[in-house]
Amino acid sequence: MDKLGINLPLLVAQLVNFGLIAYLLSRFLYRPVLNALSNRTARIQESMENAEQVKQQLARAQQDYEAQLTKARQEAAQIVAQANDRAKAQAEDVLTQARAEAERIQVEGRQQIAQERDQLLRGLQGQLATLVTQTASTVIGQELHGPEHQRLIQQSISSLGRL
Amino acid sequence: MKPRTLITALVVLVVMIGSRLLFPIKVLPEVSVAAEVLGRPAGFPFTNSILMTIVVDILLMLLVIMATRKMALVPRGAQNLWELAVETFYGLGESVDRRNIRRMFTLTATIFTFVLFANMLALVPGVGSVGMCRAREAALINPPAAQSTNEPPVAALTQDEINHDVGASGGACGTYQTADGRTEVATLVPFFRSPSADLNTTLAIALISFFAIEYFGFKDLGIGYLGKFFNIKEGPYIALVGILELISEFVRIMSFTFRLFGNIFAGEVVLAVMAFLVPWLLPLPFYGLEIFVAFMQAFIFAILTIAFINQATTAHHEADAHGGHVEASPVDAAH
Repeated sequence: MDKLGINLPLLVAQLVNFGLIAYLLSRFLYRPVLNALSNRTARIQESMENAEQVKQQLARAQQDYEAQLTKARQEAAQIVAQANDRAKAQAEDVLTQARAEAERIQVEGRQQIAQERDQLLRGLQGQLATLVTQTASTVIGQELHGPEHQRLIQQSISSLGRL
Repeated sequence: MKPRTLITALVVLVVMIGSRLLFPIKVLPEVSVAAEVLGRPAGFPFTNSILMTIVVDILLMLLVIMATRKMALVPRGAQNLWELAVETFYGLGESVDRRNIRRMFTLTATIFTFVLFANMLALVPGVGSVGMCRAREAALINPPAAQSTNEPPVAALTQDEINHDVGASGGACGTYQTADGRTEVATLVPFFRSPSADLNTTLAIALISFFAIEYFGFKDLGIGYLGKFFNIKEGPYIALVGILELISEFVRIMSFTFRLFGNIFAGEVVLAVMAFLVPWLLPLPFYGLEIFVAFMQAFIFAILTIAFINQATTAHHEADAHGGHVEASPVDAAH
């Protein structure tokens, strides 16, 4: 024992030292660190649970949003369809009215043309009868009177009617 | 031989011879199995390993208190390092003995931390080599009775005397005159010596480990713990194994003590001899090896304590049922 240097007071001193250092390390290192690790674990656990809750809420909000979006799309589609239908109907009405108007304008135009033609023809007939009478008088050198005169006028009008 | 190998060998040889010539260390530091006494306040043999133990304690506690004084939620720097160390060791202990780690954590973690710091600080240059000259007998822990009361005045030796006497006396510290006129060789007593290179320290930790193992064994299994050692019901073979187990329990004290002491002490001697033979370059790989040994010895001491406590707290039938290995029950890690 002497040569190995083992000595009771030194052994006791080392035993006491180890006990002391174990206490101090426990007090200043192990307990604070393990507590900190434990707290951090709890906090991380809590954060993860919170994150999970937030994730679920987000998923629910997403679902709501999707549902509302789908509903809105359906409504929009419905509105658009209705508007299309209405527009088509209106277009149809407008077209019908336009056609009718065009028809009317066409008929009126025709009538006007016919009237104007008749009027013109009547004017022409008068002027032509006068001209024919004058021309015939000049040709035959005498003034036409009576039934001859009337016959020539009628003949001229008839020939004009063929033009 | 390849030219590269030859060149390397030549360089090493040149460094060895050159450093030996340039930086001569004339005397190999004295190798002493026992720690050397620095003084005897109130009759207590205050050794260099005790001084080193105090240094280790103070340094360790300073580092710990500085790191954990203000614990932050998000760890940084030293706090981060200590948290990593504690968590890793806890996890390691859990993997060996999940059931008991909580209650034996302080013990085993302290063994690991203290031994690791003691071993590592022993590698600081100057530890084991810087010291004072004293009479050989005065440095003994248990001095001869006749001289213990009359310590020689070695402190009076001057540097000139020491250098002058080197070679003539064969000692590093020269000689001194005793009260009765004899000429004695003084010895260099290092101020610091690794606590692990002192059997008092290793024996103290081994005893604590041993008593902890037995305490947990009795606490968990009661008087049935003795059934591991005294079992005559299952035949003579098992009875003999029980006796061997009992012997091995006590042998553990020695194995714990001498494993740590032997490794660290041998490491110190190797480093001293290497530094004596070749002061430059050659000790470097041995330093690397010693750092590894320092860590491994601390680790082995702590892990073996955990493993033995696990073994001691496992009932005989329980161990058989699990093929000698106990599945641990989950324990809340939070303290």
